[in-house]
Amino acid sequence: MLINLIEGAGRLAAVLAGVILVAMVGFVLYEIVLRSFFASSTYVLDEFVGYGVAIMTFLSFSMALREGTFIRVNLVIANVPPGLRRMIEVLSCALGTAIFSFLAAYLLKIVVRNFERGVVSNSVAEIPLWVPQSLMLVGVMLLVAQFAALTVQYVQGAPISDSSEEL
Amino acid sequence: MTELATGLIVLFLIFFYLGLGVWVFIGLISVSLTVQFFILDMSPDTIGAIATKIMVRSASSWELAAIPMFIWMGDIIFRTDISRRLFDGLAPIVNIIPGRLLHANIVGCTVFAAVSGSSTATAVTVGKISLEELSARGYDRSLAVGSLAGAGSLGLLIPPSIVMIVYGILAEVSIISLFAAGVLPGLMIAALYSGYISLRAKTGDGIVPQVAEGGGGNIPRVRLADLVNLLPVALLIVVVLGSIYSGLATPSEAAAIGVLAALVIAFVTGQLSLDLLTQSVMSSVKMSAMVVSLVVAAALLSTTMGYLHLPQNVATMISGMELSPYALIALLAAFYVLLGLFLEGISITVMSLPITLPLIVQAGFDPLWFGVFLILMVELATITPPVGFNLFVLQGLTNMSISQIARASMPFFLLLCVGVVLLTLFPEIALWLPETIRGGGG
Amino acid sequence: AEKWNLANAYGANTLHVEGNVVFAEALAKATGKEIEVTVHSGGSLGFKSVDHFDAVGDGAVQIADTPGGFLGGIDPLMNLSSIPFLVKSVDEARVLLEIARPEYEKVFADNNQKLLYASPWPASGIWAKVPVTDVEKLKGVKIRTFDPGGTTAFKNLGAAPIQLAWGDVVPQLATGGISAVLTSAEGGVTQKFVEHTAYFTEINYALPLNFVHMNADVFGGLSPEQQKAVLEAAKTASDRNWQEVTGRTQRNYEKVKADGGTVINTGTDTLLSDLSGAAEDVLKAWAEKVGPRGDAILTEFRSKTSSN
Ligand code: NA
Ligand code: NA
Repeated sequence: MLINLIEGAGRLAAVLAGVILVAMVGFVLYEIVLRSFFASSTYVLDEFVGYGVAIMTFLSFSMALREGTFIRVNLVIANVPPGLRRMIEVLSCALGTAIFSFLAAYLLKIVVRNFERGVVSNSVAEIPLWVPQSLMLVGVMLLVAQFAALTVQYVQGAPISDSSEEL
Repeated sequence: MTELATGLIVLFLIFFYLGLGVWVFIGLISVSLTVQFFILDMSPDTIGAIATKIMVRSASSWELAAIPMFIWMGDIIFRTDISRRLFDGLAPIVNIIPGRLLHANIVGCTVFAAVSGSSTATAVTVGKISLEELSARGYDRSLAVGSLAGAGSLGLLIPPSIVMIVYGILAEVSIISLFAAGVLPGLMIAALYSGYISLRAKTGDGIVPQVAEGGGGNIPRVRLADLVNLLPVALLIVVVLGSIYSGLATPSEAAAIGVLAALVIAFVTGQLSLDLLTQSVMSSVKMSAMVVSLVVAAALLSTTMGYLHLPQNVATMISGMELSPYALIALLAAFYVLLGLFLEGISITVMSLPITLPLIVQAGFDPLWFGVFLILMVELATITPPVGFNLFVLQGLTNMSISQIARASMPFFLLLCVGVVLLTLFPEIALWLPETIRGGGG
Repeated sequence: AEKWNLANAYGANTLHVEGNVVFAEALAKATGKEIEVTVHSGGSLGFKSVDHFDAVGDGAVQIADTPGGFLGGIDPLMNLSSIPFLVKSVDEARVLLEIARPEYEKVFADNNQKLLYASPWPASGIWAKVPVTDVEKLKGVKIRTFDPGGTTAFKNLGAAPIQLAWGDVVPQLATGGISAVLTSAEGGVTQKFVEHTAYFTEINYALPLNFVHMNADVFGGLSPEQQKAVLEAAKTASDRNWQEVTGRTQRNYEKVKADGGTVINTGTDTLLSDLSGAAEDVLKAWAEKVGPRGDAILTEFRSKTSSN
């Protein structure tokens, strides 16, 4: 149940990431048109597109993990007995959970501090930094949830996906 | 020799974590955290502060934006018949050349390098378009993948180039001169690659499919219909290149023009559908997540190397040796190849430059020439394990293992080394074009 | 022995990185290498200028060298030195710094940091394809500016300010995407602007400050002698930079001429007064945002420079 929720949230976040990709392309084209034909500018292109790349990719981390898009070195795991293989999978997922929980905690600290201090970007848009950063944080937290879900699933004996196995 | 010991420990940690089979980005982050905690003796608070700042910074980058956009462009081409048409059109034309369509990656990367400033974007975009076609047509997979890994790095040598811009700003060398200086060495490397492929095709079995395509008989015939097949991609290239050289778009923005052009072509040929849109977007988003996860992890690793002062200390050591010019270049080349095992292009450049550039100038080398030399070093780094971006993205594209891809890339690594030697013996390969342009343009 | 890291996003040959090296050497000498500072130039630690404030506050690096414009999002006060045409010379920049220093120090102190020293960049001017001697020459011209203040000022003049990453500037100049750039003579010299824009008009647009700031816990943990050594090394580096900035401007003008460019620094009185007028909005907006602190600084600055 909870696992379905995590996967659903990951998919939803990835859809949002897709919307951001489309918006980024549109925004760059808009800047080109403004500069070339109206001698004008949005003045925030590199700032906004920068946020866009980070938010888009962080939001799709969870689904990329679920669907086996992240790469790994298969030399060992493809050549060990199934029991050991399962142990390695559980450890890998647990390590991912631990590392990104740690990172999420400190990212949260940054977001809260920037919110409290009212820090804005040094551009004409003066975007409060906590806004894009909290969207990145959502992506990292979804990744943590997906790592944790996979850990639990592998401990419980779920089949290990062999999508990227080849030697 | 503490530098040597530290370097070996870091290398061991990389092999340990990656060998364990954890995801590569998790492995590289683990190496960084381990080194920061155990070797640099940092507190968890400091480590958390550093890691999150680098994570946010390296991912929120304007220069990075071209990668997801080019991935999307490549995916649209892949999902429509544009890529099949391209190869149908090319097949009869290349029939007389030994290796035939195996040259497609090299030519494709050389052309694409003229619109993209990044090695990763070049490898992943051209690979998305070409690899499945080449496999389906029966070409040798290892040679196809290796040539793509090697030629993808031309994205950095043939202008525009992100690393050249960074070098130009830091070394105070004209970026336009650098761009000009990269052209001939880029073509030379491409020629070396193509020569090697022709040689392999002539001497090896099963490298190219038995039956020639398109012509059917002995004499290859190029028909008008084949040329029409080339039209969509030719248009795409003209539009994107044109947008850069007319000043309409900056090199960083050209990717968006590329996406637009690909969508227009898909629309005009009646292939644009909601399905195509959503599938290409979702697949690009996932691929981008994979690439950026590696960018973030590699950035943290290079920050960690910076805190270890490893590149600086080794470079300082070299500067104390008072070597002859060619010995200096040889030693620097070895130094950069070793750095390239762990680090990526921009990190290699910014970390070593403050020490190596004065050395080079003192030894009588032209900083413009050294820029091209450094780009070749950076290209080598993209195809050397354990941390090699072209190897990573190709694993993402092919599901082959890193070690297979690294082995397939090995000949191209050696060819790049030959290129470095040629560039050092004949610096005019880099310097002739910028000097000619400056002389003629006033 | 203490081993510190100092982050600077700019290249090894820039005024400020050279100053960092002066600081590091002076400190090593004064403490008998008890404190060793490694200067990481070119952003080689992975931090950009905009990250420095938190990086120092959190102790990720002990010291950083950061242009004030990147700190304006934390406190608009830090934009003071970037306001166009407020100071017209190196001497005036120094006067303004001395007046504002307590406020600067407070911003750093409130965030677990200590201000070691501040010193300016060479003044920015206009690189253009034609000699810019009056504002008419700027009408509709696509000019790359580098901060919101410049965008406002040049918009007011009827120019078309464009925002571009520094790395995109030369390619855009070469292809005609833009035809003018607001930057120092030095910025243009290092990138051979004369190949595209042969004229540099001196307008002394601003002499923005760089701040060298240090983690307060690290500073507080030093012995009194060490603290004294740090402050003295800071003074040595600061003095060096303030002296260097004047000579550097002249040397860069020589280089512009040697490369075949033209420096325009006379007959521009009308241009300068028109430019100042266009920039008044920026000053007003700044004063409004900063409030009484800002008014006090401006009043004192005007009384001390009223002779001009
Ligand atoms: Na390129
Ligand atoms: Na490598």
